[in-house]
Amino acid sequence: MQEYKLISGCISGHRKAQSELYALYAGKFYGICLRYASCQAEAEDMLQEGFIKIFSSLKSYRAEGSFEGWMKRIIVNNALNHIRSHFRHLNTTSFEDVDVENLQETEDEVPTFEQIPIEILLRFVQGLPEGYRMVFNLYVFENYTHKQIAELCSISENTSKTQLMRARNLLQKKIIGISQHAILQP
Amino acid sequence: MKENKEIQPIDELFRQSLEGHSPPPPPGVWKKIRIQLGKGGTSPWQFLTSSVGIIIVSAVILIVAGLLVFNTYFSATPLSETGNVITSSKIKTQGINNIKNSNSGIKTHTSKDHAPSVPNQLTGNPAITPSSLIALSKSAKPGSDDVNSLENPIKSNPSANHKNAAFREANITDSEGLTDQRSNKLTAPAAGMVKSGKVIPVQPEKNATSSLTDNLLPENLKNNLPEVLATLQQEQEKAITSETGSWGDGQGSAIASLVPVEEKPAPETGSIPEEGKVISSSNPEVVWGNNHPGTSDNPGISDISHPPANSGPAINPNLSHPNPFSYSIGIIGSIGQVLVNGLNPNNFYSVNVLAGISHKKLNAGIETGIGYTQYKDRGIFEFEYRKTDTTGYKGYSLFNAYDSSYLFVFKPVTSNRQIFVDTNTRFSYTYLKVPLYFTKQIFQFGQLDLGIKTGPSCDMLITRKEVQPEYSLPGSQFISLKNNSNTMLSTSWQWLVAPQISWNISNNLFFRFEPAIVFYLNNLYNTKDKPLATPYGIGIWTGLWYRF
Repeated sequence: MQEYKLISGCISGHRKAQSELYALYAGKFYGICLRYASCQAEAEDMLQEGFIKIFSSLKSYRAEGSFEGWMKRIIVNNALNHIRSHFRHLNTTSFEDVDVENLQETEDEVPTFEQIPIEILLRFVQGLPEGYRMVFNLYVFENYTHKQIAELCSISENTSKTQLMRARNLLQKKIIGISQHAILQP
Repeated sequence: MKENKEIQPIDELFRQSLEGHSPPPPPGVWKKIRIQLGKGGTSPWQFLTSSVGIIIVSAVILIVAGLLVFNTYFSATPLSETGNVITSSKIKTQGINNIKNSNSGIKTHTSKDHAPSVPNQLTGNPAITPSSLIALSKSAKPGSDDVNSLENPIKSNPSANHKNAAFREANITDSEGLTDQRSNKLTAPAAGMVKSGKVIPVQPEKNATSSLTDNLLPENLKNNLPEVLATLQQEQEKAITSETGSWGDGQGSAIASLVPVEEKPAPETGSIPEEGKVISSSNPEVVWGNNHPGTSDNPGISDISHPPANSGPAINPNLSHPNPFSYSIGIIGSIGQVLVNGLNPNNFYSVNVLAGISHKKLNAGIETGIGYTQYKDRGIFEFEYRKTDTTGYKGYSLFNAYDSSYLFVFKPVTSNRQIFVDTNTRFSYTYLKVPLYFTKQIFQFGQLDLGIKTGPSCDMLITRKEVQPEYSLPGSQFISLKNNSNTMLSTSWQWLVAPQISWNISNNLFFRFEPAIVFYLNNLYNTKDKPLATPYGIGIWTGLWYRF
């Protein structure tokens, strides 16, 4: 089905069109949700909420830019909102203000990823604290700048930089840990 | 100003690995979304699967079918069957002399306003209407009792009402005299005329007919009688051919007003006319107007008189206007297969009780009823086994920097898993079938009829039985079982097309054989689990029918 037909079908509330749209993009968006979530269950919730928002916001879609990009923004924003609401619920502080100047990059060598499956890398990202994960995702995958991240997450630019740095350090340690503890079972 | 982004190798590596990551979405999410959208989401066909949709669609089908049958019946039925007019065949057979105004005859009105004008084009005389006839009668016999009766029979005889004002057949003839029918009646034994409870003796002489005409009709009408009658006949013919059904309101009045009626005594008089008492030919004291068809307890003269020998064959309304429909009932069984491109066929069978109504002239009809259909659908199960003689697994044990108990084991070194797909397990779906088929006979060879049958049916799921599959692989370890079966719809709308071959065993009994194709209008399977190709069905419908 052509994209405009799909969109108009979804706007009209036709179940078949909605189903097709879901089938087309669910996998891609689920991958995004998995990166922002701490576990699969949370990713599923994000995906569900994201698609509901897409279907309910379709009327406001102005066909400026790509449709997929528009949907992706909704999914990402929804994921961020989901994490924020989760923070409030847990009453925890995820963003740590750290003096960036004193922060040092780890000097360990980054191992090659060729042999590490995607599932493991995903687990690494999911294992990051929420604040680190958000900034890392936005910076690395969504290509946001620290300024944009600061505005989006209501934090300072320095905090964004700190979070990113820490995220990198943690990920690097995990990867080194893998390469050291990898066991080949006969 | 765009910030210069510092991309480190670790960023790049994660991005390369995870950016295009598109894992299969979890199966339950769409269901949840669908439920959440349920209130607003609409599908053009979805309402058909709901109970309300089924009821609405069924009601619409029944109403449309009913209206079709109703309209066909009433448009095909002669008006005489509705009791409004006499048929042209009657008129042709019996002529104007035998116009029957009895049980199936003309409904007359006493209202002068409703009486039509019948211009007499031949003579140039004014239009003949009941009122003009009354006026003529007045001029003929001013001041007489008969005129009063003619003007307003009910007024002149208050006791005359719908029941006791008997409606009698009149045989109007030319000025020469009455017909044989009239003569027969007049010569009937113990014939007499009842007037206000008084039996008036009947003159049996044949020439009494002319005296009746002479006495009943005014002079100027008598002179123009042939023309008047001819005009009236023309009007009758027109009314019949127009089939408006309003014949009795108009032209009938004109004729009926010419008809002398016998007045039965009022109940309080206690005098009931004997059967066979007829209008006196010699006594002019007859009452005009307010003609009324005889009732079961008060039949008209036509009911008690013998049919005239020369008035053509006796007309049986049932024979002259046969029911245009034939009715039939049948028990039909079917067996067939649901075919889906790329999948093994699934069997179905059904038992149906159908009733049919068909139009004899059109050779077309409808069939409906109720049926029981069972589908034996193949399940699709995926068994995953691991051979026990495996060479082992390759994996990583990972200790999280923060949680040392975090352990992963994944990816076997060599794939020693074996997947088997089982399609031998059958699911049993039972449906209640409500069809509405349209049939059309195309041609006939002796006892063999060939026709076509098509129409929709609605199958509603009653039961679903799923048998758990059993499969074991020797020397292996069971890992998982996936059910990839296509689940069938709870309501399936279908359309059947079939040539119809009927063998008439006897006048009433016939055997029917129908090789059919079934199209599943809303697919046979749930959207979520439906196969990629569209299913369709082929089968044989056969059974015995009884025609009433």
